[in-house]
Amino acid sequence: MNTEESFGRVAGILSAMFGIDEASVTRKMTADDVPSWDSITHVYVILEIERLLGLCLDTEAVFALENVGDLADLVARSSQAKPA
Amino acid sequence: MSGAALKPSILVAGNCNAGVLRNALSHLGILTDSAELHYAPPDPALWDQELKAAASRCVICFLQVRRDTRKFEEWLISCLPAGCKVVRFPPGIVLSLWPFVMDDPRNPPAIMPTLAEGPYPRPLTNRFILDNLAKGDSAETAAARFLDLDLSKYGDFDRLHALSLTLLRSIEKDCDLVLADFVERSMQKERLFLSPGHPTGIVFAQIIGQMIDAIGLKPSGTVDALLQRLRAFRGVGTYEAPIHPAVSAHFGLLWTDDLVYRHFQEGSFTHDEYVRRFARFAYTPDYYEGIRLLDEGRPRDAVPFLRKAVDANPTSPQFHLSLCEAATSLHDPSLLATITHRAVAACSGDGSLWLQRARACFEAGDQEAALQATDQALALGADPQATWQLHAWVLERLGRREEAAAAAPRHSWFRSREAPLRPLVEPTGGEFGRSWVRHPRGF
Repeated sequence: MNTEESFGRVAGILSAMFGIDEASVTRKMTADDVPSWDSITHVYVILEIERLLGLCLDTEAVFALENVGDLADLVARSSQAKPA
Repeated sequence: MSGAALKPSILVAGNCNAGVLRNALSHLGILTDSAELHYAPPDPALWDQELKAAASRCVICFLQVRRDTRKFEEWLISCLPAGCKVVRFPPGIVLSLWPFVMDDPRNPPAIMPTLAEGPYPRPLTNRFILDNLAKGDSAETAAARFLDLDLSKYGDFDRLHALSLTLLRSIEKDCDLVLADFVERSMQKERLFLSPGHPTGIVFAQIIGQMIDAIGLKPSGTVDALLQRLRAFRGVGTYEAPIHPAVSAHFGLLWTDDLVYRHFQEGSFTHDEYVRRFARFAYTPDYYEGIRLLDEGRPRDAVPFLRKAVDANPTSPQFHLSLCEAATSLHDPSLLATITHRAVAACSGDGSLWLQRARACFEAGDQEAALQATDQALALGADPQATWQLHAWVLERLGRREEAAAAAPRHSWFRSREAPLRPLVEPTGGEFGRSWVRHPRGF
């Protein structure tokens, strides 16, 4: 999965989880831009991404992300590192 | 201006957990003799002049670190005098036992003042059920689908646990006090949380122990007694998030057998009942309107709402108790007799209701019935001061003076032996404190 594809998947998951318009999700969007997205829901976001995409993201890295773009990049890196 | 010097202050800043910690510390006379203890909510708009003045005299500030309140932390530090010791502590958060937490779109905030978080705040939600409701399932079907789900195939509980602990540890990197190792070590054998952000007294005791060390207090009987009492504290909040049996089995939890989960004043329910109620978005609006009117000093207006609430949910002791309170305010012995009769018939295991029944019988002049009711109330752990006092009065009315004389000192004995309990929860929020004070044993 490249970063464009991963961004699309992440945007879809965020849209479903937070009830926001998928088109409104940008790479620069942060948790502060979504009222329900706090440190607790962040854990569930990560869990849902991992479940739906069959990945296991770097545990330390998921709490050091700055924005949705970082998250999409992490997803892309993780998918590329995943054994076929 | 008075020449008397104001005491230095100790601040405990943060969410509801901090309110509990402040109140717990206030039980230590050795602290309150030399310092004022203040709870500081994590929003400058909620600070009054007294709190700002206290901050300017602060010698130790216990500051809860949260990822979402960095601006508040910076602002708070700017309010403190130079030399003030800042001790950072983590919030009590564990998500591991609740895999489906997310906001419920059916749950608008502030649905009514007495249920400020709404009937199903985030910790009580179930995203699996919400998704299926959104796909068109009926409430019954969505609940059944969840209860039939093989959760072990659906979710990776170990991964959630790892993420939850990593979140806590990532916060602890900025803290002086810690919690994650304790949680990891103790979760299996003790109930540490009622819901993801609401710890039990066991967790509070763990933090308070570290706070006492940070203050520099030496071990003492008073400190031990406080920690022991804290460990028995039920925990924050008037709701408990149900734990799926598969989750309990996965982690080998030793304390979930026969557990029922409280839902505000609605009562306590098994996991499956709770799930079905959540799917139906079940709660009793009449009750919350009734207690709002009661709080406004309008018991006559409150009674019809509370009656409807009791009709809708006759197994909730708190519903009956509030109706009894309203009837008591109306000074109508006949109404009180009817209401309390129904209350103890529906909730025969609740000592507080038996005490209400005893009062009603006493007022109605039926002292034999009052005596039986006080016996029940005492056996079921009702407020001992009030119950023994009433017991003595009833015996007096029955002409059993020697027994009354023997019972009367029990009242004063309890009063002298047990200091009046101060609420461990700050009575400020819509959810916290009030119910604990009214109904300290829970359901």
